Amino acid sequence: MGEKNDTDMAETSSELVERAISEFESPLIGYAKTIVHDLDRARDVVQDTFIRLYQQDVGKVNSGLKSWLFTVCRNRALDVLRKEKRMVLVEDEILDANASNIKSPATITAEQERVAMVKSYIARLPENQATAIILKFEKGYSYQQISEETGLTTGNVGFLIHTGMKRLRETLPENLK
Amino acid sequence: MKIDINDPRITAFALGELTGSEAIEIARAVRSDLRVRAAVEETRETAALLHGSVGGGQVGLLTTEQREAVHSAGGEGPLTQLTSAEVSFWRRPVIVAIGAAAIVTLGVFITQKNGRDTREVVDIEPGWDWSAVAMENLTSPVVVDYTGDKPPHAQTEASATAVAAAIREDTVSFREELHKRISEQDAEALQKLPELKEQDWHEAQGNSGLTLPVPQASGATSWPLLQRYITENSALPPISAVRIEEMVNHFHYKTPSMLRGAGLVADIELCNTPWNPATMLLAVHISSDVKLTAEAAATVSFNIQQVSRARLLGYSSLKSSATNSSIRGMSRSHGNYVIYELELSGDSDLSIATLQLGDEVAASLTVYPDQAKSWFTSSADLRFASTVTATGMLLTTTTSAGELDASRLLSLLGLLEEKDKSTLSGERRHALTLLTRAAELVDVSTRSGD
Repeated sequence: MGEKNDTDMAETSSELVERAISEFESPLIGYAKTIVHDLDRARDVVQDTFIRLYQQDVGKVNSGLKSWLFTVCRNRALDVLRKEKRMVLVEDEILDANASNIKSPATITAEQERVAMVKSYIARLPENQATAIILKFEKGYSYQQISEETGLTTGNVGFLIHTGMKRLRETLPENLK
Repeated sequence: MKIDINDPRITAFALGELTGSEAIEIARAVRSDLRVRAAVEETRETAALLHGSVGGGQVGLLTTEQREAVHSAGGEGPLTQLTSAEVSFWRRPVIVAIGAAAIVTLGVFITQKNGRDTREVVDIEPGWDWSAVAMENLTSPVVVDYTGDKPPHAQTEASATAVAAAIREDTVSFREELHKRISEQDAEALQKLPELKEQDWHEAQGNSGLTLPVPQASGATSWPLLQRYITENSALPPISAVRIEEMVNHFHYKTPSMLRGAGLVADIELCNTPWNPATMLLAVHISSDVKLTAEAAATVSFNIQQVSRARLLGYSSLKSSATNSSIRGMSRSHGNYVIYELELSGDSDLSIATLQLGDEVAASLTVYPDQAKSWFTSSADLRFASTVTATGMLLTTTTSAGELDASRLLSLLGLLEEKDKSTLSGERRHALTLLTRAAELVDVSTRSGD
């Protein structure tokens, strides 16, 4: 009897949600934030979106997963705004948010020190790992973009980032984690 | 296919870089292999750190708690306090100590289900085949069967230890399997749960002290059963299906941090009882510390100059000792939220209770009267957990319920929604809807004289 390929089996709702989190968590939060103008609220909206995904028929949602997620996310974000009767207050809130984002000099200094510390640990990695990590997290590049920038294959990029992150987990002091 | 824990695709998956069949393959591994899931979580944490520092911006990722809430909505528990994915499963100290007993005894459970009378050893791997474990073992309640200073594991039977160990290491798939079976079984089979007897009050009078255990485990049967009865049948579940500790611990709570010791970490909080002016509620949220260490008992000692009597809410004992397949001992992979009810006899400034983790003197924390809060100003976690508890009490027609009735519960639920509406997670919002429906059903039942 031939061995059945794992991915040939029908995807369960749990697996679909796990994959959806992996692939769309960050883009969805970014999208929700453009509507609700607040990161925490955007996270709540996306959390709720993934919970709703559990209630769907996997077979029906799977082929249009991205479209389903962004539609539900948008509707949920608008619901949040409506519920809180905040539509007319959005502009004020943006102003408030900007005001509350003003940091004290002490906070800025502490953050700068923290960034410098993390960078010093990245610098201790082998050069190719450090480069891949910086491009990924500082520049926000995808594996594909890093591949184009460095001339490495995406497989090599994945390996360097995997190894570099693992090394960082082992070496970063607890107060930085 | 088993995924190598060092497979770079795990990192790519955690960073959202994997698509197509490879993403499906890793997603499948995340659901079935605890080591892979822990590796993904670790990578996400490191990614959040890097985004938040060298990335210079806010982290566009869900928090660990939010991801756990999403997983829980799919019928599984959280992945908390798991030992590092880098450590081989069988090398973990706890498993080495009890592994043999676990394997043999789970083998017995499995063969019992299959009707065989052999004690063959079953090869159990992480991501165990819970489908082979009999329903009565999956749905066993955790039973607290000690008082005073005897740690629970000293009285633990081998069979109970095995299940507790298995659940501890494989909480996710245990819950997944249990929820799946509950959703598939016919209603008649679901009613075959052992009858329970609620915890007695422990009196201070005539005793030199009053110390109760802090249970570190809960089963997972009650909430999915409650959901099924109420949403599918618009009916109240049988009393034997209502286990307060399982209802409370279906949900996630803020990670405890107030007290550490003996490999445990815990928070403690005191507030008035919103349905009984004569009593107070003491909540203890306990979990394992970063890494699992030797098992230790945790206790709450009540000051008998202040407290006349106290009881655990939930953790009912079995009425029949013949059906004694209950899980004793602990499963610390899932933090446990425990609520005690106490009656005060004094009104001095003396302490009310002391939480003790293990035997270390330093690992204790004492609560004084001035730390007591009103229910309305207590933490959101305590407000929520106590409301779930009140629902469980109402559904089991508990004794000493004070002024608790459906109307009072509906008021509490309304207050909770009003006060916490902006911060309630989706999981808790759904729960409030279900609890409200339960209260309404009790109300109708009471009015019709059923």
